[in-house]
Amino acid sequence: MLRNFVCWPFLLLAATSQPLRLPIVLVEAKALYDEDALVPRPIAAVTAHLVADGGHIRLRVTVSAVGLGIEPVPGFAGTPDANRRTAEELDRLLAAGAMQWVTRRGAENEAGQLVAVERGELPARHIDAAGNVSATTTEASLVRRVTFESAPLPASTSCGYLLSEGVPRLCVQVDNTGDTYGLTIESMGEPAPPGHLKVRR
Amino acid sequence: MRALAGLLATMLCVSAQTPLPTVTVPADWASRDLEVRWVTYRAAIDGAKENGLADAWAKELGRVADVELLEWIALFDGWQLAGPELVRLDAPQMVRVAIWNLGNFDSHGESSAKKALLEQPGRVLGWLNTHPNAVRGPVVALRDELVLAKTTPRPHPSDLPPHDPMQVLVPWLEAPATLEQFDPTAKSEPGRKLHARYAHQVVRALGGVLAYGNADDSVITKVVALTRHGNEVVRLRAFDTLSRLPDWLVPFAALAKVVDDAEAPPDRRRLALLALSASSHPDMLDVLVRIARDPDHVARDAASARLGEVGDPVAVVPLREAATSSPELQQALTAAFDRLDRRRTDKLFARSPALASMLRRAAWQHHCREARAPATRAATVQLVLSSGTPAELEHAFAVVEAIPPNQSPLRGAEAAAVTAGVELLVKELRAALAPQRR
Repeated sequence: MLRNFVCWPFLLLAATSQPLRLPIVLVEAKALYDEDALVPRPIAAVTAHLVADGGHIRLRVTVSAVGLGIEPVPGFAGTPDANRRTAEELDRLLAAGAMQWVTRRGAENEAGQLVAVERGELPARHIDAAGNVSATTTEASLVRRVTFESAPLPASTSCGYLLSEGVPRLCVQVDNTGDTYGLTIESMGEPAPPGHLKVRR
Repeated sequence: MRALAGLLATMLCVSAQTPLPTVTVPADWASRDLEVRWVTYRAAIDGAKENGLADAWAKELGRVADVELLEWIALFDGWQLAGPELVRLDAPQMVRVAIWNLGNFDSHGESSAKKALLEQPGRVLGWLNTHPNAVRGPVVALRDELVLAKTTPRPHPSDLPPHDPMQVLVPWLEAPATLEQFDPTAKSEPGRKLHARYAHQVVRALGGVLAYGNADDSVITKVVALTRHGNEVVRLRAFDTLSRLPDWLVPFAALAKVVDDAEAPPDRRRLALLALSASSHPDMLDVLVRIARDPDHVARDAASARLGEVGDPVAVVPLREAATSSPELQQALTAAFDRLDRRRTDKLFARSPALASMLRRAAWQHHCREARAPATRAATVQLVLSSGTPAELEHAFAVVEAIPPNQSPLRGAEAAAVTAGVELLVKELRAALAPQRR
């Protein structure tokens, strides 16, 4: 499986200007991202890390088109735990520069940055005319994962949003007292789902 | 330093983008028949290894203003790629093909078409007033939304009238026994036989079934008939189309009949099993369980694999019991059991799609007065309660309760009975969770 990684820019900086210090993960949360439908299907996996790095605390959020529990696109070619449409959509949004991570600060949004993109084939299923099933991968190399990092966060509660074409689609709330840390991941559909899935760790 | 970090990040973001492949149509493109242009387009994008090739084609067709082919792409493959080009070109086909996509089973196609229509409200309301016959199905809600917003109708005289699905789809879905092959390298159709039907035309119409949505029984019956066609590509695409319908529309009974037909060719039985596994009919998992136990069934491997993917621990209880005394069965089902265990560990059965499926099956067995119904009900309740936190389960319950009654694979009194049974089960589950909430 072909995978290309774009390196973390802050690590490049660290490598060139100061001794390498790996960020410390303070807390991790995971959740499946639901599409905005009446019966929402999980179409992506979200992992959020609160990391301490160089005296700052930042939120790092990865949105993935592959992961246990992700439902495939309908049809024979889709295979569970990966969603080709999600990967294509991530690709399209990246190419258009239409995805952005922001942290809400009062009435203003503070921009985060895209720090990693993983590309590669997605698992797929091939079904021939005789009805034989075989595991394969997508022909095209797609975006499997994207990772964003917030600006340094205050020692308080803050909310970060993944904006897709200007519309918030994902919210991660950070509860940071300085001693204890909490993360809440929330899918944001349109229209709003009847309830909100909140995963706290 | 901060500025440098920002610059580096920007550079890396740019490098993360993949430019669209370059597509340039031949100079004589406009002189080629529409059918030839379609076949050339499909031959170029089908199985392409280049990412974004279909997108690049749409943009190139927009550049040369080939609105006819763009319309076909939006009619049969969906709005997503061709639609924005039709909007950009202000094509007279734009409104009618966006309206066509309002019922698209692919939510991306449906929502992006609706967005395009709402960006030109006066033009769209004017078109709807001019063509009242087009106001049906999901278009009714759009018209009401525009009227409610006090939109002033502003019809565009050049906009084309609506498509009739009976003319766009049905003639091609009623395929003759013999289908011709089209030469994709041809620039015209000099040798085309009068009244000939080509295999790609039938496949294209199958795409149109999904893009148009609103598939009624008559359309689905025609797709089922195509699963018996002599052309293997048409057969395969017909089965695939059935598997891509919304779960409640997948024709469970017709597909189960093929799966159980010992006289049917093995390929049809396997493909029917795979399509059937996309159904939300409460008997679906029982079919998979039965086939997975049958070492002589041609679709056994497919049934085992699908059980792991769409099954649940309650449905496979009989299989687990049988496997304890059959090493062969245990081996055949190891991957499926492992997958179910992983899904259970990850609490995926607390999520609404799996929960709805389990509750419907328990309610259905109760309605059918099956002897196993009490055991299924007890095991389902136990599994659900152990699958998530009260908050997670409450979220899933709310979603299950919001499923409209017409999104059921059952009809009439049976659908009502299962809905009522599910409501009772949810009530019971909420009562069981109440002490934890306190």
